[in-house]
Amino acid sequence: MIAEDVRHQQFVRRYLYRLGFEAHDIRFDKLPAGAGSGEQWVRLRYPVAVKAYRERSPKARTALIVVIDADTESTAERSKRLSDALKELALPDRTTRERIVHFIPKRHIETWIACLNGSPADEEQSYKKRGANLDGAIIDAARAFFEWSRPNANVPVQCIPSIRSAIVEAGRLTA
Amino acid sequence: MLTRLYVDNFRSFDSFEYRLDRLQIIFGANGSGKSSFADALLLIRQIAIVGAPLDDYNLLIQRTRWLSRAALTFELEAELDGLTYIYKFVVQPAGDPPQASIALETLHLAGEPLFRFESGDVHLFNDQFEESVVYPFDPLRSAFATISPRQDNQRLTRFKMWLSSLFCFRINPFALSGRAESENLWPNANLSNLASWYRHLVQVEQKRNFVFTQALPKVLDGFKFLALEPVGENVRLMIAEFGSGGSSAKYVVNELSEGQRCLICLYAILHFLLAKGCTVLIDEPDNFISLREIQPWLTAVSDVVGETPAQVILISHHPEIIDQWAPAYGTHFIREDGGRTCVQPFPLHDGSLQPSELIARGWLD
Repeated sequence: MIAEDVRHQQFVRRYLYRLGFEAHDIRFDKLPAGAGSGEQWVRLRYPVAVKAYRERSPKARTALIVVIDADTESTAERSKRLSDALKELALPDRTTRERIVHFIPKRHIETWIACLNGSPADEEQSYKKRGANLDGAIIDAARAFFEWSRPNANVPVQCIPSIRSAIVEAGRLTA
Repeated sequence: MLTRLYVDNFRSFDSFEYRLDRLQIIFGANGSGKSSFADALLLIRQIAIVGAPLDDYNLLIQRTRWLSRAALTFELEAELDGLTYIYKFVVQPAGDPPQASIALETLHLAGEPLFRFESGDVHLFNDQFEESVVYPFDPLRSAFATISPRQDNQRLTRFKMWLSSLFCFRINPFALSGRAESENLWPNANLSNLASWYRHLVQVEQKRNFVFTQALPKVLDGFKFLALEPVGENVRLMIAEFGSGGSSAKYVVNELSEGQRCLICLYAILHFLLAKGCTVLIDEPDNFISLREIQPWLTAVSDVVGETPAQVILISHHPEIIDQWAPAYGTHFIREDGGRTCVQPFPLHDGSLQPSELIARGWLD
């Protein structure tokens, strides 16, 4: 898993536990050295991780998960930036069969945490509260995401578009 | 949780103040004061809880070499149930030859007194901060350590219970004994008494013991179970059984590899202390541990801290730990030219280098 911050890591980890994975099944890439540098870091690590994934996947069932905030861009624009990072190294874009998952919260992971916990959430607003303890809220948000992404789940109407995109992405993991 | 530590005139700590969060990784050069921090914390706990004579800790010869003042000061701040407790003691030489003695020992809650030991007199206050008793006491040891729980000192007792469940570990697999001749309520700082502590735990922590033993097969290849086998009157050996299919072999825990012993210790700390919400400091938890095992343990620790009131302070040089925790929870211990220890949070950086690489290049200095 390549994540841009600790909260992104926590959220996806808690979701993976729900899917039945354990700590030994998950490997986190390093976090960036400085706050605010996450997007650059993830784009830097992404092609390296995709290359490693493709070398490994014929031998073992494995997946690559990328978690990166959209910030002021759209989810599609952020995903395209990841594709561009592959092109720069002459690597082909991910195929629909590859278990390469892009989780792209818009605007931030905190927006997802608010929405998944039942609060009204607006993807254009910033919900970032650096230093606030969101541990409990992250656990609950991951549980809700697991429920919303189950087959035939009844996704609530207040679900924001970037979470709807992530639900589709999560299908790559369970396919 | 422990929120602040102030130490003055002890080793490299000259008016040293450090504020802590619930997850903390301390890193820094050799000799920067990291282990002295662990020793100071352990010292405060031992003096205030065990209550042994101060001379047992050789405090006077550990005073800061370049300072001329006589007194050593230790002050610990904790936030419990939303209230701030401050425990403090000042040690001074007294008599001829000079012996370490308590000049002042206090406990305050939100600025109000709960306990004061000064000039050889103990002043006890009730939960309404009213002075209730004054009596003389030997200044060569902590008077706080001798206070028993009563109906009217529940706040003091709350702090004391928390302090008694604060642990500082420097795991030494070579010192670990497989023999349990009695039940030990608490683990030693080096976990040499793991078997005796475990003998106590299997009696009182059956659910946690189940979770603990369920976790071990994931970290110890072929692990089947732990047992305490009798080998004489009231003596047990802590045995680990390994095997697959029909074949198995038993080993006393001190016959396991150093790494396996450390992993058992780390998961015991995780499941028996952190899961209960204790504050735990571990000096170099990565020693002897294979690279594959560091991140899963660290992840499990993060999970427990997210689910309980537990607090974890790790001291480490290991890139695996630094890269995961330092940007969010890192504190850099710095000592310039052999002088006083200072602390700095992990600095902001453009993210082109891993945190451990920044440290390895000396670019944080």
